[in-house]
Order: sequence, then C-alpha cells, then structure tokens
Amino acid sequence: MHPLRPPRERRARVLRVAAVAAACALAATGCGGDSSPSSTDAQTVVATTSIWADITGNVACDGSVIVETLIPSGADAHSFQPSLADRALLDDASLIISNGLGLEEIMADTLDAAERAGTPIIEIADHVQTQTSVEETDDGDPHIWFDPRLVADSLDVIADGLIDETGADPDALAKCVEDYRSELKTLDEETEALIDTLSANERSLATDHESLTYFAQRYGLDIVGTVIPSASTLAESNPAQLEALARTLEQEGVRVIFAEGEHSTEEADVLSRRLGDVRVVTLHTAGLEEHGSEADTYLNLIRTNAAEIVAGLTDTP
Amino acid sequence: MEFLTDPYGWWIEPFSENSFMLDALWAGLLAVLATSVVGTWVVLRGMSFLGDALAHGVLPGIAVAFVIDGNIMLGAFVAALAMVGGINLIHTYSPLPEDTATGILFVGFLALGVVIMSSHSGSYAGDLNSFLFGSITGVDDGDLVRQGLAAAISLVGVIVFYRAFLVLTFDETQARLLGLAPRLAHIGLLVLLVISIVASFETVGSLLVFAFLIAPPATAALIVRSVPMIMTLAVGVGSLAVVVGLLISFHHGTAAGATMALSAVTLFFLALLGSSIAVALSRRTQVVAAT
Repeated sequence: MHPLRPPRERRARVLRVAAVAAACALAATGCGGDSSPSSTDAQTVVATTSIWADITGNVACDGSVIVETLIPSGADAHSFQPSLADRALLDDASLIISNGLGLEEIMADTLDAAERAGTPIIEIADHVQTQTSVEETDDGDPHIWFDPRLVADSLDVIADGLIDETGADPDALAKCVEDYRSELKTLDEETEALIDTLSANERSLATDHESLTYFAQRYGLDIVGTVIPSASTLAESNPAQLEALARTLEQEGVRVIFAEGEHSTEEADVLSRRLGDVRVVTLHTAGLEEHGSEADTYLNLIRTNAAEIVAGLTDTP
Repeated sequence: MEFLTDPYGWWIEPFSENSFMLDALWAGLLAVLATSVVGTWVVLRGMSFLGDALAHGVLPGIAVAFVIDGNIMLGAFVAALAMVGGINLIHTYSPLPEDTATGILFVGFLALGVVIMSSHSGSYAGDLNSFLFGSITGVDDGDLVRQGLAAAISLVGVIVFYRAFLVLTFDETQARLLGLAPRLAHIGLLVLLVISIVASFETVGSLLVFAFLIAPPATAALIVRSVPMIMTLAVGVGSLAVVVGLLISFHHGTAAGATMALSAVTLFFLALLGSSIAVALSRRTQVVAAT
C-alpha cells in the first residue's frame, strides 16, 4: 500500500475535482447518486478515458470514490501527452483504471512510472476476452468497450480493485454492479435488436481506423475494409492500400465509411469524394461528450453510435 | 501571480512533496548539462542546423531497434554516427556546401525512420511520436544513470579538448599550424554532440534536446563573452528553463517537454531584449559624455 500524501492546494487539481463534482452533480448517471462526494474523505480513482471513468463511476454508484478522467473528452487517447499535473493526479490516486492494448500508447512510460511509485493499475484488457485486430499488429484492437458484454465482464474486476484499494463497501458496490450489469444487458439487447433490423446485404461497412472490430463481431456486421488499417490513430495510409480498399468498397457496394470523432478524417474524405456515392459518418468512439449531448454517458454513446450505424447502413441515396 | 504571492508553494513544494518531480528535475538538469556545454560550441561554430539534423537523424536507428527488438540507445547512436559520416562523405565528394549535405540527410533519415516503422506493423508511425516529445513524466532510474554518464562524458570531453575546439572555432588555419588536427577535433566534437543527444532524447524528446542544445548557449552568448563563461551561464539558463517549465506543467497541466523548450526560448528573447536595452543605454551615455 502506498502512503497517503497530505492534501495539497493545487489549482489544476482543484479545478479538475470541481469539474468532476459539477459533472456528478448534473449527471443523472455517473459519478454517484445523491450523496455528493466530499474531497476530504473520499479517495480518488483515475481512469485514463472518460468512458472508463463513467463505467467506474457506475461501479461506485454509492459515491464512495471520486473518479477523475486523465484524457480530456475530445482528445485522442493515442496521442495524449500527459503533463506533470497529470502525473501528480496519477500518483495521488488510490487506483488507476486503464484500457490497455496500446490505447494509451504515448503515456505508457508515465503509467508505468506511476505504478512503480505505488499506485496500482488495473488494465481492463488483461481481464476480458480480447481479440486481435484484422491486420496483424502487436496488440489487438483496443476499443473493447464497443462490446457491452465485455464491459459487463470488467465490472467485477473494477469493483474488486475499488474495494481493495479504496476500502469501498463491498455490499454497496455489489448492488451497483448488479444494477449496472442489468443496464448493460438492456443496452446489449436493444443494440442487438436494432442491428437485427438490417438485412443481410446491409451489413457491410468500412471504417476509418480499426475501431469497430468488437462491435462488428458482437452484432454480426462485416467490416470489409479500413482506410488506415491500424488501431492507432497515429498511423498513415499508403496508396496501394487505399486503391485496394476503393475496389473492395465498389465490389461490396459499401456506401458508408464510419470514422472516429477524435481526429482528422482527411483520407476517408478523399476516398469518399473519389467514389462519389460513399459518405463519411463520424461516430463517437473514444470519449464521452459534455453533459446533455447525445454521448454523455457510456450507455448513450453506444446507443447513439448504434443508431448512427444503422441509419448509415440503411440510407439509400 | 501565485509564483510571487506564494513562492514556497509554487517553487519549492512541488519538488519537496513529489518524488516524480525530483526525477523529472534531475532528468532535465542532466540533459541541460550534457547539451549546453557541447551546444556552446555548436552555437559558436554556427552548426545549429547540423544539431537539429542529428537530433532527428536518430530516428531510423530507433526504428530498426524497434523492429529487431534491439537496444534503442545503440540504434540511435549508430544512426547519428552514420549521419555524421554521410555528411562528411557528401561534403568530400561534392562541391555542395555542408548545410545542403546536412539537409539532404536530415530529410533522408527522417523519412527512412518512418518508412522502416511503417513496414513493421501495418502503417504504424505512432511509436516514433514518443521519441519526438520524450516522456519526462515517466523517468526511471536507468534513464538517470544513462543521462548522468552522458553528462559526465560531455563535460570531460569539452574540458579535455577545450583548446582544440577553441582554435577550431576561431581560427582553423592556426589550428593546423599548431598541429591540432582540425578535422579530428571536428569529428570529436560531433561524437560528443551525438552522445549528448542520444542520452537525452528518450527522456526529454528530440525536440527538447535541440532546444537545450541551442537556446541556453545562444542566450548566454548575448550576455557574456568568454567561452567558459558562456558554458557556465548556458547551464544556468538551461536549468532555469527546466525548473520553470516543470513547474508550469505541474501547476497548469501543460505538456512538460514543450513547456521546458518554450521556457528556454522565452529566456533567450528576454536576454535579447535586455541586452538591446543595455546597448541603447550605453550608447546614450556615450553620446551624453561626448557632448
């Protein structure tokens, strides 16, 4: 166990806590029910992305811990550069929840150093059944949250971590997990029912990066091509790949490329213009948006994306 | 204004309360020590462009080390030496000026690095990014030992070859007459340059290595005249940039490497402003005295 450091007054930190507290106060789901966490006795847990922060908040729905997000919403997890204020946040936390599989690639050193300094890390990808991506890379597709069943599988690991590291009440958390698991089950069933409205020849799609592998496998969609065949948003494409993809899209009659909102869709746009009747639809992939928008919680994010995907695939020009 | 109203809380407490801030501070100070003394010669001899090229010329070596799972430092070192050799080769066998040779190899090595990485796993340019910006937020003991060694080698090298570098910088003909082998001294300087770059880039990133190589010595050269004074002041200026950069990153959540680089450049402009005012004032004094 790492010794608790004395509380300090730091503007960046205080602002973050205030922002999280405000978000918790506003959000119906999220960082805890009616009991607003007080910053003096509640312990802090840091999740690398806003999606895992939301999920962790639901596991600790009794408000016993403060959940903070390292990578701001809208920022690209692949290229996020942590500051020393972020490092302080990590070191002061009781537990870090990270996605793994290379999603937090640039800050891997920083996470390792924080772990050496005494903050335990739970890497979700280590605890759920992951798959390798279409293209052979060292890591699999890190976008595991696109399968709600895998998120449901991660709840117990998160709950155990919270109980061990923050002394959260096991009974309260068990209740939270049970509730959230049933919400995830509903989400999964709803999404499945929605995708099932698609006919067999409406199930081919293309993506900008490898981000929908889990979603496609879970709900029986067929990813026929990827503009940039890497899970990393830092990769570049090459002309031969793009040419092959263009031919595949024409053969398969794919009319939509689903892109991620966190970064440029330049190459997908060029391809779309070249093929004429192919549209680029931007999904919410790696981060939640501000409260009140259509992707402000993990559950809403999946719902919104599923609706966008079905709309994109059924849209006849 | 917290750095004025609460000096202890702003300047001291982050370091006294967080071991990672001390690690980052040591990494930054060792990088400054290794680069600023060698950087003084780089600035005085007008070799800044070569310094920049070398800071990025390490990439193909890193890429190869990545692909064959070898030692990244060794790869970077070999690549940088290959670049030095290549520049000499072009310079010897063509009438082109040295900066053209440097430029050709700069872009060649950078592109080679990305191409090697992309042939590795799909189209993957991601990992190279961390070497451009480093990870001073995650320094470990190995990093510090390596940087300490490099700083020691740079210091010893600069002291041992002081006379050779001095004559090389200000009078190459005389160097030859004195039997100081200017070509050898030049290569010796380049090797020291490579060592200081390679030891520091993994922690602070090649962008910041270049900033430390140029900005602190340039700042010092505006203020003092003798080479040992420039070196000493450059280390001081660089250290101040490290401390201020780390603290701004700590208090305001900005990217650490870039904040330190920006602090170093800001100090240069402050020194430029100060020295321009000093020159204007002394001229006025002279005019007043003459009338």
